[in-house]
Amino acid sequence: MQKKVKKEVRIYDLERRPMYYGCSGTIMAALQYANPTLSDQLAYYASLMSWSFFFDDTKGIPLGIPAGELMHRNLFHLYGITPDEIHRTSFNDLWSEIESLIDQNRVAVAWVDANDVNDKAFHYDKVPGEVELMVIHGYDQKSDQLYITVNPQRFQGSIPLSCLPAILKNTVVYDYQVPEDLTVWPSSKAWGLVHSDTKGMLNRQKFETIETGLYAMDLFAKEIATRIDQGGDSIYPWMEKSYEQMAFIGPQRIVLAQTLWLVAARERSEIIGDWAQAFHRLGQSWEVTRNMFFKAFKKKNASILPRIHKRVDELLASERQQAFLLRDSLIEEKSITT
Amino acid sequence: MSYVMVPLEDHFNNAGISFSKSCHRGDFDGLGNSFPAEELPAFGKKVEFNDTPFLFPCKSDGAPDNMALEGQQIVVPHAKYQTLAVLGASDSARYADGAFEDYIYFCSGDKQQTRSLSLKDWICIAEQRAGGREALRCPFMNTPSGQISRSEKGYDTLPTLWLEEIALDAKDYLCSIIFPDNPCMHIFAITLRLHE
Repeated sequence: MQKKVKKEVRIYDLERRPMYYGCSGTIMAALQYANPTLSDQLAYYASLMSWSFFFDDTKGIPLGIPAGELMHRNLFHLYGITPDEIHRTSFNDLWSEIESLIDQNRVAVAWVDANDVNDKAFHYDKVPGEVELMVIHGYDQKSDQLYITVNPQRFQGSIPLSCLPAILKNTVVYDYQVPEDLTVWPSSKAWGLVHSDTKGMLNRQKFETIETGLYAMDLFAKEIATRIDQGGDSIYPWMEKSYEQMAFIGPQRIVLAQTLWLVAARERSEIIGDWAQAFHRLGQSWEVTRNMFFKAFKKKNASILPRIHKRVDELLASERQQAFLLRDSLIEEKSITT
Repeated sequence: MSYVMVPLEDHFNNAGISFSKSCHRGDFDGLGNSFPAEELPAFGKKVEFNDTPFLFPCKSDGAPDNMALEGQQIVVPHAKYQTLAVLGASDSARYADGAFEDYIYFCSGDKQQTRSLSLKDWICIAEQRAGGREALRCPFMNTPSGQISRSEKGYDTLPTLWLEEIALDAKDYLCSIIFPDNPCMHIFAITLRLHE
């Protein structure tokens, strides 16, 4: 018998901001399905937060946040939910698991290859291998429909059920239980994340060719100086690559600022509000710097690079100052550090 | 009230306006998009927004018509001023909360006043418009491939010029203004209000 099941999932709508962070919004939509009263800005922002700076020493380019790093902070993790990752070698087995979740009045959260779905649900970033998270909340076998929500696209609708085997390959479906008492996320936890971020910025760590923290920013500043000295047309592909890789650096600081603003409001703390302002400025300044890379390579105008170098040096000084200020304050403010 | 409409032509470095017959000759945002000339006030003439007069820039096809900020220093008539009014917009600020903010330095001999200027994005989404003072909003944007009022991603693309006012310490005589190096912020016209 052909079945039709459809659950109602709400798009997680946070002030209609352009969403560059897909997975957290999508997971928030899935969590809200389990607990409709949940609308937690602090946890949402915290799940996107990271202040670290990454630099690929071999390629000579700065990096946005690696996916692994982003995911370890996703909402499941922050809420203390440990999802089971469902892996199956055959699609039919995987589909039975999805069917079973939906039949139990739950929804499935799944990673899919966004490039393989020719639909407005995934109309951006159609890069081969690019993955996106979606909530599966129903299906209609007779009309070949799969009901999904793709939060960053604000898409809620259906795609052909028959395309699922192609897009689900090598991906994972999460099976999780949401505690009934899941409510507002405590600001002390956000504060803990700021603490861990600050430590990340101050401590040099190396993952293969990737340097992190303030040391990585030094490397970036030196790389720009080297490129200025070298000159030549090879500078433009490097600028383009740097522009692409820097996509998350500014938004990370802005998200950190938004988290701090929320903590400041809850804690009624002016000093935390001031930090939020400082990080917001840093985030904006990184966005402008990134945009200068873009305009420079588009117009083949390398003469802008010394200006970029100056900006990065200034940003480096500001980030260093903020890191030490924050570290010292966190040591003093033990009352709100957990 | 007395005003000084400061000519900026010598500092223009960006063609942010294009005519409908040659949309490709403007590039406000680095992507080849621009304000539609036919939807703007008369070029090279005085125009008033919120009772403040501005000298709207002169415009010829493909020529610069605004100042993308890159550290320009503008000499102004030596006088005491109460406010600086700015007609401008940012590009690419939609992903940075809808506006860019940076510092402007007002020089008076050996002294300097520092003030913050925030300019909203020229095509920011509806929710990001809140709190801003619109001078004008165009019904569509010129792009290299024609005129559009909505992007592929479903956002309105209605180019907007914003009006910002900065209060100054009127006890100092001002002689010049130094703008920041922030090419995402664009200024089309500025007007100083004299201290009375």
